[in-house]
Amino acid sequence: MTQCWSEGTLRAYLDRELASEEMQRVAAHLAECTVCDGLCTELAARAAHVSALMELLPEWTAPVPRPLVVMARRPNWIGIAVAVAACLALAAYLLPNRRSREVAVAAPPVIAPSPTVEFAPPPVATVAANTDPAPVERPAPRRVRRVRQAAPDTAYFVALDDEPFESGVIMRMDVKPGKVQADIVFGPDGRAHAFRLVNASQHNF
Amino acid sequence: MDVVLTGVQPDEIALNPADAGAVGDRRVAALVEALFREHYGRIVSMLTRLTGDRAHSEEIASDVFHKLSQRPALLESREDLTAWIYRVATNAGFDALRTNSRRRKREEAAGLEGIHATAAPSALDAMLAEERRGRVRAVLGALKPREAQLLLLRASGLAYRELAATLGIEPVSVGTTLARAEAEFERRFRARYGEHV
Repeated sequence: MTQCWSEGTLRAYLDRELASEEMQRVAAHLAECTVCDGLCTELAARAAHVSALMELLPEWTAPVPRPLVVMARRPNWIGIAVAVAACLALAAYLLPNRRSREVAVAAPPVIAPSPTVEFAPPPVATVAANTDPAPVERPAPRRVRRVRQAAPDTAYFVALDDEPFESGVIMRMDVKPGKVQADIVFGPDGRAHAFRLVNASQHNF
Repeated sequence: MDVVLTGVQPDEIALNPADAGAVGDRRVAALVEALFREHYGRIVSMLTRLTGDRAHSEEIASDVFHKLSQRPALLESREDLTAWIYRVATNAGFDALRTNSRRRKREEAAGLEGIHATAAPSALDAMLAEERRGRVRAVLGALKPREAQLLLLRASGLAYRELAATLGIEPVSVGTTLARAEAEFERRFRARYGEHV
């Protein structure tokens, strides 16, 4: 008679979890060993009983979580559109090419530097004079297009409101954080009317 | 392109302890994610059978993986992470089972008269079915956690190789462990409720 098998092997035999060769050997032994055959029958009945009881518990299959990298497969067009729109809005706000803002740009001949100009070395008039060959002779320098042509690489002043002003003082001061400086135009009423960031075209915008 | 990360076992992702910083963090995150995708569904299914509370089971399973992600030393060790995950989840499920059983007794005591008052066959069947499920869960809760875990996962159809991974044992030992767990379950069930299901 062939060898008897352990309870664990017989249990695996019932679940067909043995290798094919071992399955055949166990089957051959069960045909000739009543003890092992009885034990196998007992194990099968117990397994069926336990399985029936376990089946009473409702099974719920959890959905497989979606992979996080699936976004690369299908771009989120809504998100992209929102991002592009946000970038355009930001650029429209930062770039000084809007007519409504340019109307109030302080024109070089109009601004009369006050005695406090020593604290603000580069007034707008000076900047314009360096780039424009004859700024003083121009009769109507308040046109926005003229300023743009005269100093295309210069940072423009950005008006803080739409009220025109005839004169003012330009003061340069540090803006935190970083080493950014700003030229601020103060009107005769003491309020700031326009500002620009120094070297803004190179580093800040 | 289908991104399939199932089937990844801990040994297939080598962690180098010398790697520090962002690279190490990414590897840890990738390892946790791979384990999550491999085992989260099975754990939730097992815990749902054990506790009867699907939402709570999902919460327990999520907590297990969160706990794993907070322990990089465990991830970098060579401990069998699969067995660790199932062991922690099963223990948490046992705690939930005990809590639920106390709560369920109170709820049954409060609602039993209402169910009898309706006298509808469906209500009676539902009550009897819930009582049978409660018996099975009570016996499972009296077993050793690894025995209950083995029976639950076997009922879910896991093969011996997968059962061995969840228990941290050799596949050849699953038959013996399963036979003992079934014998213990049946003995305890008969001792409590006799031959009746």
